[in-house]
Amino acid sequence: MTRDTRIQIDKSKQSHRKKIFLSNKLSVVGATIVFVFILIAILGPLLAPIPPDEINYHSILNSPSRAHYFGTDRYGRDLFSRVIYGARTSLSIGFIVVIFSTLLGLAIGTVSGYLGGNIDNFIMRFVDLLMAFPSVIVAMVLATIMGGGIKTLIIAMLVSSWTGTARIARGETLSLKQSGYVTATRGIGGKWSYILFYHILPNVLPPVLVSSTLSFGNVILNTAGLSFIGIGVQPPISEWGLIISEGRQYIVSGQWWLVFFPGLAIMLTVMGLNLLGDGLRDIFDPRQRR
Amino acid sequence: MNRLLSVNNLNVVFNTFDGVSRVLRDISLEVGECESLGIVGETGSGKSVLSQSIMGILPVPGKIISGSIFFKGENLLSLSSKKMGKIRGAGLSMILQSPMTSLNPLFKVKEQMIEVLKTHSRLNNKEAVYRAEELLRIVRVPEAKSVLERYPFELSGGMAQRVMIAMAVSCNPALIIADEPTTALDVTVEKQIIKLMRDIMRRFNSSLIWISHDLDVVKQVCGKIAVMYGGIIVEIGSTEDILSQPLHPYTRALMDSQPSVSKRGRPLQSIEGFVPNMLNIPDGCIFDCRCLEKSGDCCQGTPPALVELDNGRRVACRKYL
Amino acid sequence: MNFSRYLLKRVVFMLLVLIGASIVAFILVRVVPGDPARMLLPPQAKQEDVDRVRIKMGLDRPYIKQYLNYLKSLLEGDLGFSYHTGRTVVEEFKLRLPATIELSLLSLGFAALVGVWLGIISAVHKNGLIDHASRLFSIGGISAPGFWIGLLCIYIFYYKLSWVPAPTGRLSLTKEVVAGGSGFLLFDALKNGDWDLFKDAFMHLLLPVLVLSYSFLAMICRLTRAGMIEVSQQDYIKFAKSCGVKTNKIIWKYSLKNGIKPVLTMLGMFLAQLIGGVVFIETVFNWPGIGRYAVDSINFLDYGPIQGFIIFMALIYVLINLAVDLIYMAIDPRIQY
Repeated sequence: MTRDTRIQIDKSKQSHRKKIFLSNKLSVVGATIVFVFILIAILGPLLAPIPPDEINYHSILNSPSRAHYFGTDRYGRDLFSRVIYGARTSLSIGFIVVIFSTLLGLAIGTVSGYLGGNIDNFIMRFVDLLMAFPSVIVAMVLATIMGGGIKTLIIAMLVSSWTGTARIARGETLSLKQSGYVTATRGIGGKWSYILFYHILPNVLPPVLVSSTLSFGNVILNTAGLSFIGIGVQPPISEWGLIISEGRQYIVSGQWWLVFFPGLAIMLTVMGLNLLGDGLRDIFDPRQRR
Repeated sequence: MNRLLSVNNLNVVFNTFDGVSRVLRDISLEVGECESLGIVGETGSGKSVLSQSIMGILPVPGKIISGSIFFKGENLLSLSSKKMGKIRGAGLSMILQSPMTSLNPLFKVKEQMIEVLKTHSRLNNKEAVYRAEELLRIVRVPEAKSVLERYPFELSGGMAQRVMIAMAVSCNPALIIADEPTTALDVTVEKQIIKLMRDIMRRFNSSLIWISHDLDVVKQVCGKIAVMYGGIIVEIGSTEDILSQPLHPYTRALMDSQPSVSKRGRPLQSIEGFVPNMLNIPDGCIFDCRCLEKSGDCCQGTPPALVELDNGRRVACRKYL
Repeated sequence: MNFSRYLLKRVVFMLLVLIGASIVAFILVRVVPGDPARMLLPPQAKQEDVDRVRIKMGLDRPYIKQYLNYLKSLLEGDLGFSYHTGRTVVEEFKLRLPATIELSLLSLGFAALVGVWLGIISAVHKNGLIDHASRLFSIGGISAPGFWIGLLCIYIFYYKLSWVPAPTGRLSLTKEVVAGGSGFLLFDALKNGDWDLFKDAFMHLLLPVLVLSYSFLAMICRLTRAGMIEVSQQDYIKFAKSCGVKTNKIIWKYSLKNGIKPVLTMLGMFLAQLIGGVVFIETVFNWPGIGRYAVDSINFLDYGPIQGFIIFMALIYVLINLAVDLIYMAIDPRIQY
């Protein structure tokens, strides 16, 4: 069995895909937004004019100005810097969760789909069960056992996100399993590991990539939400949801910037990821095109 | 003679992501009252697009850019969609290829049939149900009453096709377009449906356009045949004329490739090559690259137009200019 | 014959989930470092109280006996004690459930009606102005965090425009809940003909319901649109059109029933997400419902209600699953058991 028999990635197919992606303006917008935020996260310390945890009792709750682009919070900390550092927090947590949950979901999903039968049924029932529990609840339960904090947050979100990937991977594997070339390969004595890596994985990856991009957005939302209610990231780390919860009580007295800017950051990032994911979906699965 | 349906120089394009696909070019044909026309062509020749254009249900990337379609004296292309809606199903109706997907799976047969009846008539529910039952009997569906209460997935392919036929004739259409109605059915059922369609034509005094890729089937039902290839009509004439004396090289190749008892023992003929890409129509004769009878470069340059010969025959081949 | 087998499978599944939840709740207090008995009591509890609880929980007995004990108390309807409020968990649930249900049902109902309608219009007028507008609107709903939108709305509509009352929960501070009523304020107020109360409750409900429904509206709109577009390409719609069935009927009767499938498929997931969303909205608007109660319990480390929540969530999950299955069966005649 030579390498040539594995699925060739057509050169013209790749450039065709790039063409479709670039022509979809929204996808390009999404990709740009994501790229910008990643840049912000990486270059954080260079972009932030003032350290995010520098307390300054002389400028408490200042509205946005030339000195403080986004204003200051109740401790006088510069909101602009805090939002920038928040990008680092959210994106790094997001990356960790998404990478590990994708790996886990891929592994379990493909194996389950490949093995089929009762094992597959059992695993999928379990996945269904897990999927039905809102990640918030899972996070809350874990928080009571392990206390709040980043570690709990990551584990909680990992537990909730791998299921989506697993489902998709399993679905693709199942349909591939029944396709001609897998049966044929097994018929001429191909080993299961070969089939898995050279035939199934390349076909499973595109939809998984799409769903992982979309779930990245979800992870960011969840991180913000859980930090908002107090069981995610703990102060004094800068995290968008946390900043919002700290600024929450001031909204009824008119200090809107504490809530507005971090939330705007969340929305833009998630929107970028959603648009990017949709764009990827368009190039990989024309059937689902709008 | 006043023609029931007359298509004149119809041009249809599809605006795709990769360019403009000229799917139908200069199509002209007529169908008289109580006449049956067969349209024969392989996949990609444009036959379904033609039927959809006549019915006015061409899906969005498709556009009729020029030409006219006269039905009972009216140009269908100039009608408002409301008026066209009144004609569809009543004056003009269509039968599709796959009966199992053409009936809405979530609604009972009864509901779908009376919906059509009530759209085009003033029948109330009870009367419509009665008429539906009657129609099912006409199309020879056994146990009509119980079939009415069933869902489409509970019917066999042949029965579903009959239900579709019943719905298509429910309002006494003057013209029925059957788009590959037997392609998805097995041979015995096919024979029954062919016989049924002939009876329906007689009983309802309607004309019929039968679209198929199978010359054999078409010749059993139709008095006239039009052969399509690559978006144009290459030959049109009465069935006996075409069968006894096919003029266009494509028609001849098509007939040669039909298996028959007289060719026993010899290898099956096929037509070499592929249907041309509609995005990039070559200059000259559309059949050029597959034609076995071309002489020299007879088929470069402008494509040969449909030339009228005697007794209503028309061919699009330079040989007959 | 087949239906009773299906019923049996369902019941077994439900029991398994509930038992699983009870095991998780049971383990919860024993896995956390510290004395389980002390955890169920306020931090300043006296040693004798702790000892009493120890005996009641049977902490010196083998685990199996403890679990069976716990199971027994569950079946008797004892979900534990909530020390940060001073009432039993069951009492708290009874008090707070109507608030959450009122909020959730109205939100989901609103999201479903408007979302489906918008989705259909977007699909029918594909790539038109409404389609693009609703797409932008949808993307916002899915990308923006609910609690942020809630806070911004409070700022705009309460602080700046004064169109809605302050977020003090279900009612203004001067009003009181109808004594002995069902707990569903709109219904109680109507029943008693108390127009003032109705208006007050309504105005307080307005913003939370709109904000909570936003993300669902967005999702339902997109799903409906996708479903309707897919249906419009089906053969049976082509055939219906060729039979002359009027466009309105084709859209609202024939396409809708088929096109709404993706929404129903996600219904279970929606309800799960709704529960998550409720937590945030209740926190932002100071709504006296179960969501906020859960958050408070965690922040106070009040383990009694947390245990109760796990059981409760399992119950809800199981009921939702059943309801979705039944809805499916009602709509699609192809599904048989």
